[in-house]
Amino acid sequence: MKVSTNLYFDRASTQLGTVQSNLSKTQEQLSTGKQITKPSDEPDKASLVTRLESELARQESYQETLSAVEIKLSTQETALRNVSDVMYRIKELTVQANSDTMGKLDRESIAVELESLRDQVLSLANTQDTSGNFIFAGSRVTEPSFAPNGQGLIDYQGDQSRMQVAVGDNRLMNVNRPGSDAFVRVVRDDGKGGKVGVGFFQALGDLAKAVRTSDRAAMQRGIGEIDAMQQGVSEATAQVGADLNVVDAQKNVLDEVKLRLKTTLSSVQDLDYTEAITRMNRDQLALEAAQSSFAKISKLSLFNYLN
Amino acid sequence: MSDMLSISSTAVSAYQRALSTVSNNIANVSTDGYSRQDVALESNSPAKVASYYMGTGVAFGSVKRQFDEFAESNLRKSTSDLLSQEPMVDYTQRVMDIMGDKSVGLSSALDQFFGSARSLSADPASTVQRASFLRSSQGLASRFAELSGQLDLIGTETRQALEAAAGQFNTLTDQLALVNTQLNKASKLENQPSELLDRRDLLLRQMAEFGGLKTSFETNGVVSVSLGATINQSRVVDKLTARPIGIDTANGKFDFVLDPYGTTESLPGISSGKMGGLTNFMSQVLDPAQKSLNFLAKTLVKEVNSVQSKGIDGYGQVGQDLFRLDPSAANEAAGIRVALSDAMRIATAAQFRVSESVSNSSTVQASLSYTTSATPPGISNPMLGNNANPAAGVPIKVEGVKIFAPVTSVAAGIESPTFYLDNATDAQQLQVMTRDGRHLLGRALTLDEQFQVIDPENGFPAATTYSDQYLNKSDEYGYRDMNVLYGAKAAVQYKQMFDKDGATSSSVPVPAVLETGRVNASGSGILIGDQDIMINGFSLGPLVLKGDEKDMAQTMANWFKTAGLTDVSVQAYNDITVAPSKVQLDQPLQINGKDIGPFTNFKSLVKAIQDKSALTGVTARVSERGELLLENLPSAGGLPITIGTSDPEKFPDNALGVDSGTYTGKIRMTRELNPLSPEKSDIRISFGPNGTPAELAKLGIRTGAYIEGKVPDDLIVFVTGQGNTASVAASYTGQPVLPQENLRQQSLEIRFTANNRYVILDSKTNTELANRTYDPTVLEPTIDYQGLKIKLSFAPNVGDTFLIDGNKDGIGNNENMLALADLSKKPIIEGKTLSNTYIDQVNDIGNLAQQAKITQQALTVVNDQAIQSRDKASGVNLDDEAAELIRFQQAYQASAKAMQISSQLFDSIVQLR
Repeated sequence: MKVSTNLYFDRASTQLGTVQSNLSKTQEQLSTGKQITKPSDEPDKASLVTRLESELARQESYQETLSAVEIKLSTQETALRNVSDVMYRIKELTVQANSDTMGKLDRESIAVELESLRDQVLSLANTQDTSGNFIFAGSRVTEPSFAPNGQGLIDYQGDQSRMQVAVGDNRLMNVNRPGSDAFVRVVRDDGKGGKVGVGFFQALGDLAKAVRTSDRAAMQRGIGEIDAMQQGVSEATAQVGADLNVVDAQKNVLDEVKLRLKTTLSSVQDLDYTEAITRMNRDQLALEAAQSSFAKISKLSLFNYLN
Repeated sequence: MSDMLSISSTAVSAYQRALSTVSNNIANVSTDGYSRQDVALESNSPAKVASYYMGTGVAFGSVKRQFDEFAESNLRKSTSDLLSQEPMVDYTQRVMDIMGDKSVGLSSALDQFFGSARSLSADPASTVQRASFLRSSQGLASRFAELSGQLDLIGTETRQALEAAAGQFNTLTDQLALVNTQLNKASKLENQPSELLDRRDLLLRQMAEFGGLKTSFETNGVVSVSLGATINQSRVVDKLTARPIGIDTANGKFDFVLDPYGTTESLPGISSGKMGGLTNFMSQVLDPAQKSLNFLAKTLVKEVNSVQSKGIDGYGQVGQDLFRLDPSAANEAAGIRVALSDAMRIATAAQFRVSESVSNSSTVQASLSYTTSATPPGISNPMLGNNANPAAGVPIKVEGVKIFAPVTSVAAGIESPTFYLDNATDAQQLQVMTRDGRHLLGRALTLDEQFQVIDPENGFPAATTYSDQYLNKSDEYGYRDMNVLYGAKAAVQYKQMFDKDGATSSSVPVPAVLETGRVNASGSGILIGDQDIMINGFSLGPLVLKGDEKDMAQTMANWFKTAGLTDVSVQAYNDITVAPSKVQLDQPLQINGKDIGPFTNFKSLVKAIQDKSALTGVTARVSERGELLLENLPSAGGLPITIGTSDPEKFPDNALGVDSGTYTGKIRMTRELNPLSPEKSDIRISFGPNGTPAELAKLGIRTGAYIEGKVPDDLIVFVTGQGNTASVAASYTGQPVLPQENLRQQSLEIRFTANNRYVILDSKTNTELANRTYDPTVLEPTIDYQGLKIKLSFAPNVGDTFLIDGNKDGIGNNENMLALADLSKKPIIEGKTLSNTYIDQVNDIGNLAQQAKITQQALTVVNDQAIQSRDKASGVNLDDEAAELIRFQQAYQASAKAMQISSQLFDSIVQLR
């Protein structure tokens, strides 16, 4: 078939250009390590990449949330463990004070210690986090969780907001514990045949007063109440512990999810170096062959032999 | 002549021309559009010598243009098709690179925004997190603007490219018209210069790059071109004339038109070529992308703001809009702005909060959710206008098995509503009640009525109980300390006084005056029962008529006086007001049977009545408002006034223009101001246990249900008692308030008063808002109140109390932020999340780009083929030409040799001497 001289040159330059642009593409891929260097390279895969990246970003934000939750929970755990220790001491002292061998003066000195222990528990109940918010105050975090009310009795000042945060696509977990859940009320007879709730610190105060005044009946009642209060504190500690376990478990879950997403993402957008280098070599060879053959063939002309 | 010299001389000249043709081919080897020219040699016609023919040499026949019409038109078509894909590929890839890019695309900004929301939800009290969320919001807004700007830029570029293409196309059509003019000089295609035809074909090919062409050739090679669907539509070159194309940008359109400055006609869809490709790109890629982005922007703003409005910010206020759309921006995506500058204004907390009382004996945990409802209309009955006039009242019928008829509901926030009951039948009563069965105004419901009215069908919550604890009671005994009255009331008015500085002095109270309508009673016996009516809280005894009362109003006034109120004066009087316009001076007049007159004008009419006052007991004067006022003389008290004429047959109308007849008297009560509390010196007429509005109507008094101040809860108004003549009119001011706002202003208390009963109390006024039963055996009891849903972990003990408030200081609450973060997973746009909607848009564009790329590759092959087949016919190959050159050179040399030989032969002859 006849090929005009013009067309021959056009074709040759187009072909050389194609091979060259292939080579430069491969070079770009090799230098970035990515199969898809810009979305338009493989438009059909670009949206998949975006989707995966978005998924990944979401999992990472869950991880951040989880770290924040872990810090909060650890703060609570530390406070509650300390409270638990103090409560043992209070129990011990009360039992001691209730003993028949104790004199009035002994009881008074025990009462002094009881009061200071109560203040210690109070300061633990009013623990603040790094930004100065009270951790046991529900959502009323700017005010101390336990403070004297109008009548001078120490009462819970927070609210019962039990907050949850999302730490996974379908996973919510507790972040806070209202003070009233950890420092529980005790139930007393109201003297009229009914029951009435009495605040944690009020009960501790009553106990110290009972020891000071050697009120055996009140002391006896106090020992029972301390058991209930200890129970409340240890339940709360157990719940925080359980929540911390959830944090650990969820961390693993998130790590796994991220790994899976990254694997998928990598298989879509990362470069197969072996394949790329082979392709580069092949294209290089093709370019060289094209260049040399063009140089040779274009020299051939019948005019060379006319003289 | 057939001799050697002439034969060889024709050959030499023929081959010379052949050689120039070949040289021409060689010379034009690189000329665009050049078609190779071939030489046609013909033998000359032979000469007859004796009986045989001798050849006479060769003649140069013609220069033939090597040309394949089919290949040419095929090439045009494939060029158009190929170039239509070019803009699709190039521009779509750019859109793709912008939208799919991590740093320009929306996806990462959305992730960032919702990530910040999640971080904030973990620590809502942190000002650092709040500020960082606000920054992310700004980031998202500016990403929208950036993206929209980039797309706009591509849009502008595309339009400019189209305008430039149209300009270039017009140049080509002009040139083609000129070529046509040249071609038109010859009548046959064979006579056309081949270069001119080359020029024509080249122009056509160049035009095909811009759009798909339809062509039609004349026999002499003149061509007409159309951009339309057929050759007869939208001709851009019609033989010798060219018509330019242009772009109509009026009203935001972007359409091609033919001949924009002459007889403009629309140019429907240029389908292929560069221009077709650009238009396709705009309509298939750019427009949908921009529309989708704007829709996304709009949806985001709407959804985020809606979440914000359901939460409480760091100051305890209802959340304000986080985003707003700048109406001056070109589109929604470009106009997204962050409306908040203070991070504390971000609404992180829930609107309501429930707390357990510190003295609860159980450890029941309460949680709460709220369902927003829209602001209800102030007055639900559209027929009931804000007009106290009896004529404006809506008719109310209580018939059949029904023992009550609803009138309307009144939304919280309406101020000072008053409902008037007119034309009530004996037992009918006007009733006002809350949605929770607290009866505020009216008469206590019977068991039957309670059963019919308090029904979930009528909008009462289940387990609602009825209470008349607050019925008709005001202030500290009333519902939420409201001031209400069922009956009639005249309040102390205040007169503004001016001093030398203007109206700066305190206003002066004016004693309350209650003027009744015309009394309406007759006959004898007990008119009003014992203790049915009370005035200012004092019961009145029975009103018994003897049957011979001339002055009924006076009788009633005297009866009122039996209440023994020292500060209320009661008097009977009678008057008739006549508008001056009604007066008919040509008619006669009789008052109380006495002829009045003569009179000629308004003034003399007044004078005439005054003159007869001694006889009639009725005098007249012109009131402050210019009306004619007929009044009983003080001595006449509340006697009826009869108006008529001497001869009702002859003169049915009287001079006053009022209906002829007897006008009964009225009663006026005035209460002295209490110097200590003048504002409380009002006159209140109310009902005793058995009083009815019908009884009050006999005294000329209209029964009303008065509520002072703002309505705190939604109320319902209804009428009980059978009857079908009653009507209810209303007057009110104020606007209904948003239910959630109204609820947030309150502080409520749920108290368990028995093991199967709880009450809802208003802490401020200690009002019982609801009293309901519940089933303590239910595992997780729930309590609904005006959209609030309180869930209890188990059944509480008696005495347990739960407090609900508007969460004004719960800055550490994260519920609303969780809802905002949840928006990232919510399918809000046709079942897709915000992020997925965007990604799907990118995907769609990606598919288009991919498709265009594949099509382009396929069309390139087709185009290559077309170029090759045209080239096969018309292309110049130098080797071929070299061969031709040699061929013609040798023939030329041989012919020259023949000439030389013929010369030598001639010389041989000449030398024969």
